Amino acid sequence: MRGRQRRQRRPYWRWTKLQLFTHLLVPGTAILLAPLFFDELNASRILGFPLGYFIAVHGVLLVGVLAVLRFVARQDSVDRWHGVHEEI
Amino acid sequence: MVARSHQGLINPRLGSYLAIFSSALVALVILLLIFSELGTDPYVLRQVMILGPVAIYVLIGMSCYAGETDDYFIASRAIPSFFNGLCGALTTLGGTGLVAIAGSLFLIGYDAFSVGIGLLLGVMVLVSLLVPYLRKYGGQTVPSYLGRRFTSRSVRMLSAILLSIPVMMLIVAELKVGSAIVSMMLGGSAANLVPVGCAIMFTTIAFGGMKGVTWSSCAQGVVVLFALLVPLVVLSTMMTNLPFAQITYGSILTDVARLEAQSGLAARSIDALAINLPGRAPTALDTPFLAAFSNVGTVGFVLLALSVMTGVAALPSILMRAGTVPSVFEARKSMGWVAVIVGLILLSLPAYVVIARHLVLSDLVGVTGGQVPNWVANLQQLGLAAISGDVANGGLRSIEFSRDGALLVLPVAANFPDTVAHLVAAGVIAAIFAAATAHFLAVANMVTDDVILGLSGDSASELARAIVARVVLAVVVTLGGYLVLNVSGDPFRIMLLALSLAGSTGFVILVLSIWWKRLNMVAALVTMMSGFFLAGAYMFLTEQRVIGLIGGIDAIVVAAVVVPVTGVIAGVVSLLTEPPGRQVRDFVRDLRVPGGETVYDRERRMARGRRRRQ
Repeated sequence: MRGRQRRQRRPYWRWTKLQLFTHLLVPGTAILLAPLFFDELNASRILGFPLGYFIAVHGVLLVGVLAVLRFVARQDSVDRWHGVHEEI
Repeated sequence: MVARSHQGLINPRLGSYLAIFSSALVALVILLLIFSELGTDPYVLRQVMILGPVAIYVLIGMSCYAGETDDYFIASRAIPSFFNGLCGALTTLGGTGLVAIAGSLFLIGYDAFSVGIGLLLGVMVLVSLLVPYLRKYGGQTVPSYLGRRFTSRSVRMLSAILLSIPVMMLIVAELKVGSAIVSMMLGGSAANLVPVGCAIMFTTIAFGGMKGVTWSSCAQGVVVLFALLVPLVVLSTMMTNLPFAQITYGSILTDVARLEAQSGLAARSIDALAINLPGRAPTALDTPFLAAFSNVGTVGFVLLALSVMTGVAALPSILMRAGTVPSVFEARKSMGWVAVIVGLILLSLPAYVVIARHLVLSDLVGVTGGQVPNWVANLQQLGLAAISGDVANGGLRSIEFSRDGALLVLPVAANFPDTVAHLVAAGVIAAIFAAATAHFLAVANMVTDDVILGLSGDSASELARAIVARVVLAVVVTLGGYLVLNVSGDPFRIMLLALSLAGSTGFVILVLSIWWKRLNMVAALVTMMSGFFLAGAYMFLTEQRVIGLIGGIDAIVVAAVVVPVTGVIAGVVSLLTEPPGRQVRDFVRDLRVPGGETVYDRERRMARGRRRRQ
């Protein structure tokens, strides 16, 4: 019983770690580095905003919030797929 | 199937309560507007707007009496994700964060957004690395989780003591801002206001513990969002014909840039590591809003965001919210709500500030020999602006704005009725109330559960726990009040130092305790101690000017340097000492799987069963 459980968990944990890469590392790095291109991008405009500013405020917040929401939904499907979700 | 207790039963009428409170708030504001038109004494109206909501918070807190210790510590795990997220967002941002981020954006422009980015990154780290696993453990405090993970009472006590210190610093910051705002609105000195405020907060927390704090914070969340969005929506409709200033202030921003160029504000270049956030003293607008990296260098910007991120992720006041939701999925969802609400506030603040800058600049720039707009006198009367020269001809540089009052500049400069400015002040007080009560409760619970009761094991009776928890809370609140009156300093700087200290102390072991099974007790102790003392010593020595900055690293970003160092220490020490036993490895494996019973509840049930059999 114990051995079988452990074999089931290994792919689950691999997927969970992949989640970290796609929903924390990639968007996190993007958020952290996007403001550094502020001045270069400000030459163009979008919706009346300078592009660099738009990315550094609206873009950053959008990416961050969407990454969190997407993570919540994806991780729940990963849990269900591997049968480790909660039964309520 | 394990029989479930009453835990996790959610009150179905919560939505109605929230709606009732919101309508009461709207009614109060409209009523006060009517009375101010009728010529009622403005001081009375001001008192009602500031003190009315506070009275409701206290009543909510008192009505949530916690009969059982589960109610007191984890609100019986009956908080739905949205409400938990609302409280979590207020704790993450805090009144100081709200006021000081807005003020710094107003005074130095975009550079201050670094702190906001750090908060958002912190929420991302919390949702993916920590909160679901802490919920699966389900303990009452963060140190009790660490104690169980490393099967060590010394880790538990040490982490409780070390993590209390940054949280106490945050309390000091919150109460300093709070007493300044209240004394500005109602008069009175900090020495009188702080004891009263502490007594009010103690009354709110003591009856219901976590339950009372959560439900009163939900009311505070409504006030904060209302206070921030109402002036913004009204002005945005007036200026751009659309109520969504957050995405339509582009044209206003262009106008602001033009006025700034006209008044001679220019970008400057500074050292990449420098961080010159505005302090407490009134400051004149000096750089254009769009001049990025004129006050915070590029490297400093990234380090500040990282340092705030580690602090938010290791803050016990936010992490203890993990235990209050019914399930692991709800815990993740509540962090989703935190991200949405923090994101909304962070999106609104720049819009709010740009509109405020526009109002100020369009009245002051290019006006020669004219008269000073009358809002300048109003701001000066409130103590929010200082005038150092001839404003009518000297223009912009002769008027200095206080950072912590920048949120009030918009309603005053837009010549709104006074009630709107009072509403904004009430929103700031609500944010401070929410954050300070959460921090007070976090410290008191850590001391109760991990330092005092941790000594006698977990065998203390229900009644003893309830009494000890309230006595410790009283002591913590008194100590907090004492510290506020006797520690001097800039609240925003204290908040950033506290986040940095919390991150240096707790971030590495919290993350690694879940993500690296090999981390053992010795490494946890060494990591925590070295992180705390490296960061603490650097902060103390540089703040007291005993030594200069090493390599130009500001003390508020020291976490960004200390965390990698302690990460290496944790790895090396752990690999050099004995690996943790099979029991710990099984415990971590159990944490990583969301399904199954909450670990803490199962262990407590088994312990009770053992005691009964004896």
